[in-house]
Amino acid sequence: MLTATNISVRVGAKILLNELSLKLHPGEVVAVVGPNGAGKSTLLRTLSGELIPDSGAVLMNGRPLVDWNARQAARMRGVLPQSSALAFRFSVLEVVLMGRSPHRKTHSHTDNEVIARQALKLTDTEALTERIYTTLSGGERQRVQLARVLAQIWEPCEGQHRYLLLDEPTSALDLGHQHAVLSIARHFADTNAAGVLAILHDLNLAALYADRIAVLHRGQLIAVGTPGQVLNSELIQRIFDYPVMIGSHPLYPNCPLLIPHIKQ
Amino acid sequence: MPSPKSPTPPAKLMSTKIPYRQRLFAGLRGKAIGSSGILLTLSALLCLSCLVSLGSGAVSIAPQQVAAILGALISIELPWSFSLEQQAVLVSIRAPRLVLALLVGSSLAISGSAMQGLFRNPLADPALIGISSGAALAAVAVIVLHAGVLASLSDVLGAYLLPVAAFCGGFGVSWLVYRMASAGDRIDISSLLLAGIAINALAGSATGLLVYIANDEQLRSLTFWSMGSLAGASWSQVALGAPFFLLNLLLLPLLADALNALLLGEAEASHLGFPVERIKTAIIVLVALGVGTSVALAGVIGFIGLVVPHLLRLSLGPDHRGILPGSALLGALLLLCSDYLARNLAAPAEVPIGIITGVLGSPFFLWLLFRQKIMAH
Repeated sequence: MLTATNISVRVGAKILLNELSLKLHPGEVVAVVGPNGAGKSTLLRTLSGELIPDSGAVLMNGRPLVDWNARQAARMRGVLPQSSALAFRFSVLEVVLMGRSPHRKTHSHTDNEVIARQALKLTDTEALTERIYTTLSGGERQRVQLARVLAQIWEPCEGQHRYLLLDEPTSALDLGHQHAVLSIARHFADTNAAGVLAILHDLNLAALYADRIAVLHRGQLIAVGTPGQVLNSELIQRIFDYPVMIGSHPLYPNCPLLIPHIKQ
Repeated sequence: MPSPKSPTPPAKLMSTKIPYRQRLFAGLRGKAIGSSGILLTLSALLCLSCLVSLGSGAVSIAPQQVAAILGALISIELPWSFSLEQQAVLVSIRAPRLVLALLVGSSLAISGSAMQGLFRNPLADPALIGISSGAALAAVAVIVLHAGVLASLSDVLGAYLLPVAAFCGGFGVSWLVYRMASAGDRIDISSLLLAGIAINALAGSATGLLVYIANDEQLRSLTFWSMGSLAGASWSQVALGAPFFLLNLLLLPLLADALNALLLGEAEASHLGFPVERIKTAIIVLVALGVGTSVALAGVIGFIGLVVPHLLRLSLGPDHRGILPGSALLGALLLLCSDYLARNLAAPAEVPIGIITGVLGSPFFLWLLFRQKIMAH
């Protein structure tokens, strides 16, 4: 389990995260939603160990994040950035193989390449294997980066659970690619008992793919629960300051469907 | 009821474009020769140019005589005869110059590759963090203020004053730039670039001021620093610089994996388990050691650090595991060839080596820029 307990992050006098607690269980997908500037990225950076909270603690598999050595932690936790500014002409396979660098001491190059190719297959990017990364479209790049991160946490490390943290994985993608990325993440959580946490802006996407939704507002966790519990028009209207109606998905009656109004 | 939580595997979203390879150098990259093939070819060319370089000059020495003289040094007798003059020229003039050229060339090129990786920018150069301008400032100060303020220092250090001062100047200025770019325990790479530009300009003005008050004779010595030369090479210089060069050349290749990961971004590299801050510091210190020593012993030699990594990326791809050792080999080879030209183009006079590398380097660099423009379309 990846656990944040009462974490606070401040920059100067500004409080980015305030006494926030959240648990990410193995095998579940948690979507983090909230308006811009709510502290979503700060939360993700704290959970990944990139930021050390001013108070509170983050535990991964029962041990404080800072106590895992960096390479061990890298074998249990992958982070997909919003976008990657790779400007050098690596081939797609080389990029995905970089995900295997924490395993270079324990696996042969052949093993790592086999895993990299499997990750490319899972993300449906096999056909891009030999292409040059910088020539890919945004959607292709994002799926290749996802393959890199999946290759990084492909197999259990010392029998420990693994976690996948996605920072707005769908923000630059078209409809088809948005669903492709999230269903890959969902599939990975289901088949590997991996915990997935994704920052999402589209509440309907969150409702479709997440087991639980965590709503952040001004650095605080306002609500956390199943999509049905969390997505109610009063809460959404208050936080996003925008009128919405909540219906239910015609195909999946348990899944709420958010319909925005036109603001008068 | 179908559950929304377990969708079928991802829908087919495959693009139908034909696999695309680089149009230029399509066959060259990786597959055709293989990176070890390229490294071997470079090594072979390097050995060959060593032989040619050792043999050419005012006193000519045939390759078999070179072998015989080198053999004699380690008490192996070879069937080719040579004169004592040839032996003396080779052992005490050409060999130290050759070794210095190899060390300086490889060190400049490998440092250039590392800086381009660190800055994630193929146009970065070791000069960016102020090494060359700091070293030049110190060297100019020594030359111009030699008889005055620095006279007592010069008594202690003798002939070493100039290289030692240049090294300290280069290292000192890059340390200053580095400190200015660090906030807490992090180094901000864009601040590093900006601080580098500002400090470079400051050092440049101070150098300008010193040049302004210099006399004619001092000005002539100053050209050594602005254009570089290996003419003064001696074994004692080689011995002075070798430890720093070797640290630079042996330790930087160990950071190849980390440099690859850094190209993804600093956060990404740390998520992959690399100690990013320590690695950045290590790269800057190693580069400052290598380039500072180069400038101290051979003056400012431009373009090797910029052009060599570029040239290699065209054939090896951007993977630092190939680029770093490859840069060392190609940098040594290029500087050796440039030095050969510097000695022979206007013999018996010498052309400053910085002019040769500049004349060869700039058109190539322009070609690279145009090629990038074309590729972007």
